[in-house]
Amino acid sequence: MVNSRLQLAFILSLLLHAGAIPVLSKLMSNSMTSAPVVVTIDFVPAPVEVEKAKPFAPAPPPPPPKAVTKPAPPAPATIEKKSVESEPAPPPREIVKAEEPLPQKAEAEKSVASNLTPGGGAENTPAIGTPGKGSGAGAFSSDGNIAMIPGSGLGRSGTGTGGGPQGPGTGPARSVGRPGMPIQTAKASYPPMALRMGVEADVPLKVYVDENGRVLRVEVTKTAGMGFDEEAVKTVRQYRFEPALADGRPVPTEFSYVYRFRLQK
Amino acid sequence: MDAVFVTLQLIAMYSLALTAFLFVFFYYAAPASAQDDGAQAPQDSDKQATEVYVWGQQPVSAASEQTLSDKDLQLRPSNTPSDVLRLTPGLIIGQHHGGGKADQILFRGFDSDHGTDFAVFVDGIPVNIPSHAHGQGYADLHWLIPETIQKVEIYKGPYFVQLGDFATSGAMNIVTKQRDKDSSFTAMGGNFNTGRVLGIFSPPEGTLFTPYIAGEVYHSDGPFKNPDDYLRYNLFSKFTLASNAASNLTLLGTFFKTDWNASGEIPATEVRSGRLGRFGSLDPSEGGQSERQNASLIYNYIDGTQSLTAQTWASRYKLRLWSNFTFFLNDQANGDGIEQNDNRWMIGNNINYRRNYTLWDIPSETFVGFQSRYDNARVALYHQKKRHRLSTTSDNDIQQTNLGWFAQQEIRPTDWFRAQLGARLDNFWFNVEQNGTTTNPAISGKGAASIVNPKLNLIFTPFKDNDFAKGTALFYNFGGGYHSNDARVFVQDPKKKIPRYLGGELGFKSRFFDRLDATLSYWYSRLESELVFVGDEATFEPSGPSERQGVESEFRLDILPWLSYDLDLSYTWAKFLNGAFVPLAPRFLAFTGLTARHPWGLEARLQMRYIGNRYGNETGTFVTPSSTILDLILKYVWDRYEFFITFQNLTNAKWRAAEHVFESQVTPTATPRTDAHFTPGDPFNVKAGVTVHLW
Repeated sequence: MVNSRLQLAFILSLLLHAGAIPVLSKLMSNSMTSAPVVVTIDFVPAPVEVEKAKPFAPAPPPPPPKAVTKPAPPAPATIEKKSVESEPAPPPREIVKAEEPLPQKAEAEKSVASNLTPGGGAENTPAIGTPGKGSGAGAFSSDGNIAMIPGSGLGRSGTGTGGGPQGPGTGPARSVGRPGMPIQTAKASYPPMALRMGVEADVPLKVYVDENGRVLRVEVTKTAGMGFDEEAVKTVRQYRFEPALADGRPVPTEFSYVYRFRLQK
Repeated sequence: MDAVFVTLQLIAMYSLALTAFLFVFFYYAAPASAQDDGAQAPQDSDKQATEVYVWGQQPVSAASEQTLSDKDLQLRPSNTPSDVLRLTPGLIIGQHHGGGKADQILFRGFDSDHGTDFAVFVDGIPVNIPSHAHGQGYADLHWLIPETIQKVEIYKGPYFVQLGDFATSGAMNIVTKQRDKDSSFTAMGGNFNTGRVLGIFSPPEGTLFTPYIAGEVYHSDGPFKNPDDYLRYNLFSKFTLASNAASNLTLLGTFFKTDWNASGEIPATEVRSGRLGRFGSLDPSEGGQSERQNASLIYNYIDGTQSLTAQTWASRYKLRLWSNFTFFLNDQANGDGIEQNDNRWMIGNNINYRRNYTLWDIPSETFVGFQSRYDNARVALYHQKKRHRLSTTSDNDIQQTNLGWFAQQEIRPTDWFRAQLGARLDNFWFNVEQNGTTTNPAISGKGAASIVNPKLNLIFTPFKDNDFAKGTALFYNFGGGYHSNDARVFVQDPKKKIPRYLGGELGFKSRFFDRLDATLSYWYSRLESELVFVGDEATFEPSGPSERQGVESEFRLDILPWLSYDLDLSYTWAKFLNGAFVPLAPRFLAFTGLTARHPWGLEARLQMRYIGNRYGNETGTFVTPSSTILDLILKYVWDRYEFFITFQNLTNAKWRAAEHVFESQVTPTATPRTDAHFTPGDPFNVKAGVTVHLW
């Protein structure tokens, strides 16, 4: 008697849980796919609204510059900030390219084309030091090929004081490039609840830095949750960067980080 | 009946509460998933990225509390899953029944028998079984596959609110992996017809429900004249039914079946006189059969300030155990063979909730939880000869319910001081019914009991990290604990009281010169007197109040980046308040080892364990001799292959794996004699095998 009732209760409980599982998994699949999530989008007062392209220069571990149109000869050596002597560079401009393939070439070309407006005609005056707002970092190779497209949408708003990129077609262009780097870092702390529960996690993120070295926005490419994302984002927001130089001029730069939270054994 | 009714209601209420909880959390914990803009699903951008390591030290409440990772397990000789228990510094285990029976646990001055005073959990499922046919709190860990372990949490002492029944001297929670890094196949063979095959199936992340399945078959005859023919089947499966960044819902299912022969414990005098071989047997019909299946549904949620674990589990368990301890002492015609029979199912729930917040500018944490457990068992004891039942000594139906409630408040008023104050309430309801007529007096009745225990942990970190020492902390712990009594004692015990165990500890922990981790502690405890159920006779026996104290130390030294040395030392004094010794309680223990993990792929560990002599009986007239065992483990990793070879007992030392002192009569006509009865430990043996990582 006791047993039969207990068995009934047990079976009911099992059914209840079994019923809950499909419902839960449905709920989860609707709303809880672990798609990349942008955690913070925080615009620093920028001259003009940021357009939606990928105009950023490379991340700290400098991927070897690559040409889009021609097989790239060895990248020009990194050059000191001030040394802007006209140094004959190999034909194609070094391309500071994001690690990820740019969305589409057509789109990219379009974006470059638009960048040409302010920069294209400018003389070959890589005005380092006065990088002016909105400098279009578009490059224009001597033979008219589009060689580089780090020019950002920001470029459009160039006030004109910013020097344009290399001039078109007047002999060997000069190029002054250098990857960006952090100049001031901050220390992350372990999220206390995750630490208490003994959970480890990785937070990969991308930091978009403007040409003044300020952090424009931080994007968590694979969310770890449990307070890890927030901690990592909070930390890199306190970083100061030296943006990458392309053609001797600072350009908006993208840095990639992976924060690995580990328990000491 | 009342207890059953209460239980049913609670279980039903709980199921509803759990369902509601899960629903609410899944629904609201989901991050708004609409941010698809800009996130171009970068795939492996990690490779180019700058890596920043953030190191954290998991906060502990006692110097001896620690978490070991699977890495610590890999280079330990592992004959049985219970070898995991040996990771607890100062704990020794002994097997005296052909490998299949739960190991005997000796720790902190307790002969915990098969788990009476040491609680073991696997993913929150209690391994200990109350009111068990063979021994209270019997903790058979053989249903665990060691390769599935992710980490092992070790707790010593009764200072932790989340631990209840059987966590008197300490507790261990084994956490299994959510998935493995790849699928693999392992085959191993060695002396004594030992063989093992293990398959692990773990497809890459992203597979529907992320299945993680491991299956094991193990066989060994042991070094005995009468082969153990120990055979074990294990199947482990885990499915992540749903998961996101903050939470996951996991279903665990395990299946375990085993049977074996045993040579039991043999009288030392017979062996010494040469009438019986060390690996001989007086009753070759000893042995056992057991099985256990577990199912568990676990929901975990963690965010920056709070964490929730909700679990419901159910287990089915069976055991038949044939033993003969006293040979012909009680029955000269048929011998003293007994069969212990346990057949039950269990169901339980756990909810733990933690939250961090600031209270009047003081960082605080509240930790609350609820645990329930219901056992429905039929336990019986029979008189048998060559596994044929002769008569029924006792046969009872037992239903028992345990509810545990706890709350703990932590405050961190300054950066060098942390205090945790908590309390735990446990309620028990017992119902025992008699089945048929038995040769022992019938037992039946009902009872209820409760016990409230305080818990206090103070953690001081007055020293700032410097070049000499880092992470220096001082600990003071105090708490009450208990182990429940067998239901059959309880319904007959007029006092109806759960004996309390009170303990306190002073601890110190630090890391010196960035290469030596050191832990020191002194502890003291007292246990109230109690009536103990003797499963082998189905009778009661009083046990007086006792007092224990001890010192423990642990050292870990990083000699080179790939070479480390470890040393654990402990000394324990245990006695009854009337002056008698606590039989078999460990005294001096040392465990030490040298571990190398060379980047070339060679890994090795040489280890030694020393168990000092200890008193075999209350008067100290019998002394169990000390033993020193050396083991060497070598492993070579090459591409997808791992080759390993284990040499156990390098010096071929003669040692006793288990020992008990009692009166026995070896033949129908011999004179009864009180003697030390022991099971010999394994002589020198070699095991070797290979693991292939498939994909």
